[in-house]
Amino acid sequence: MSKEADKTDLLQEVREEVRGNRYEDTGGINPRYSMVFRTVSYVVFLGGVLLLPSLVNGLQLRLATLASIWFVATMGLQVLMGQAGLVSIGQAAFVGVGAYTAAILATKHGFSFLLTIPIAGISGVILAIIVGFPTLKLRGHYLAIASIGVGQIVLVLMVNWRAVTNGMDGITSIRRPVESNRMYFYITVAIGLAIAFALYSLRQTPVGLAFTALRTDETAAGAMGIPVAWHYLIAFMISGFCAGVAGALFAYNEGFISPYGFDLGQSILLLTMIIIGGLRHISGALVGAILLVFLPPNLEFLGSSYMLIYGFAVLLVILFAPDGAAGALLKLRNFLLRKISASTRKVETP
Amino acid sequence: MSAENFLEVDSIRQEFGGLIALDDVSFAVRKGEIHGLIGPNGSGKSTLINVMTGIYKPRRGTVTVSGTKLTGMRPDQVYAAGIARTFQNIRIWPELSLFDNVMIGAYRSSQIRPWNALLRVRKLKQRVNGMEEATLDALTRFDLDRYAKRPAGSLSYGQKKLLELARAVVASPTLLLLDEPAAGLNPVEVNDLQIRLRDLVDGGTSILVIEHNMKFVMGLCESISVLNFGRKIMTGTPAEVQGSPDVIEAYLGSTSFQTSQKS
Repeated sequence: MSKEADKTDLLQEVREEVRGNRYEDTGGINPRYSMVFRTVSYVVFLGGVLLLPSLVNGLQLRLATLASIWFVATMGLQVLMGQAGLVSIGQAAFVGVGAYTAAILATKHGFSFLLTIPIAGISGVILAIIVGFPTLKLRGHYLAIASIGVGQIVLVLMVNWRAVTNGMDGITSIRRPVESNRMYFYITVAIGLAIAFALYSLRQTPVGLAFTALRTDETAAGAMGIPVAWHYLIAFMISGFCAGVAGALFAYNEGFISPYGFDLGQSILLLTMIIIGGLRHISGALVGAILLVFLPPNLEFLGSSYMLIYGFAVLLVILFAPDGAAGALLKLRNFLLRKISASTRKVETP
Repeated sequence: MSAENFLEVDSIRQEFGGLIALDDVSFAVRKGEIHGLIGPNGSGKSTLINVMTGIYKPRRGTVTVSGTKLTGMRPDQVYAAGIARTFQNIRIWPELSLFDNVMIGAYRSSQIRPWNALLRVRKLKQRVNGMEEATLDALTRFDLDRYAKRPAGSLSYGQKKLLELARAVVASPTLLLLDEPAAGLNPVEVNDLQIRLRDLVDGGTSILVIEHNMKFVMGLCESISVLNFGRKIMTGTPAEVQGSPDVIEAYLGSTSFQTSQKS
């Protein structure tokens, strides 16, 4: 009886600590403090989002909307690269397919916003399945090169399949569901947070563990029963879905799309976002998107030395914060919480 | 072959380019038996385990476990069929905790998959709890439960080998394939391992074990197959194997050399 109880106690203790420590080091932190911190930061974040349109000018609000759109696309890369360990330099192709799907459905067939968004996501999933079968046998640099190839093929299709895409002229007059920039910003943030919540809770299940196992030792993962190819394809499909949704949000936001927005440069921008933001954390997608959308226009006062400083900053992050800006922020948070936990524990002991 | 044979390896041939790594290897293991697989380095023992677990596709031949054909399956399907393995060069996830290492082995049987986890099916919580309970049981069985939260990389060599075993048994396999489980262990640990493996067999698991430690193999196995240059020389009891001139020749060189020394 008591042995059984001991076992349950041990299980409870181990389970909580292991779950909490899986993706960041939370050792020595009072769970109550991290709960308080989390609640406060959520409230601050949501309050900031709600107030932002009233606080900033039109340009900055436009940038904030763009950041939350790229946040969605970059989250897909976080699952694909950060969790499953596959490199893709073709994410913009998936964004483009989602954008064109939404644009065509909205302008030619009169589909509503609520329908085009999920359909655009599914178009990204379908592209992931089509592309995944031949390319997911590749790993590392080979897959990266293949993904560039996929990006180029999709780009060529966009330019030359005039009957559908209208070639270089693109598709115009895509009408937003809401007129006000403020409302559209709220909509993109809401969709971004909904996807983030789904991906975050997926990662807390053993599926996140299966992805980690795959990323770090594929042979051992297969030998321990994880269906390797199928899980890679799933990661690819999730990534495609995020990109497709982001593409649709982008199309509505701009009102006009052409192949220009979905080239290799855009793929590399999304890749840089997740690396600068932090591959190992879903929040890395948010931090990366914010940094890379807001920094360039706001650094323009630097004049001609802008690219130099920008490039140098990117280099510094890669060298000194391999887990990206989000990783560094989380480390700082955990450091502070650990200090506070330690100091209050001393007070309680006597 | 007879019905009591649990594992049947039937004329397996494996080639790497021009090299014939396994040449028509056949043998059988009965249910609840510990079968040894010995032979000099490069004789094809590890290759055979890789063939059995789907890592290599053999050129010819079949492997069946209680009527289920394993050849042609992917490694994860072999695992799902109840066959678990350990690796010659330990393959654990050093950054993950012991708990997570073992829990990965329980993933397949938990029925948790990306789509049902994403849809948050009602049984999800129950399945995760089941996985975690099985994980702690497996760790406890190998006396690793008190290190459950530590990263696996921090363990000693012998403990890492035990961790691999715990991970292999977490899904209650019917057949264990062990690739040199005693290599690098000290005599106390080897003894301990022997007891643990017997314990597993008493629980109904069959074991195929590759090992170079002859004292360990002879003391543990009920029957032994010997490989040399990809060919099976013989299958027999430990006594038969030890007395076989062919086996002695495979390990020590030609018998004519030995007889000439004697005369």
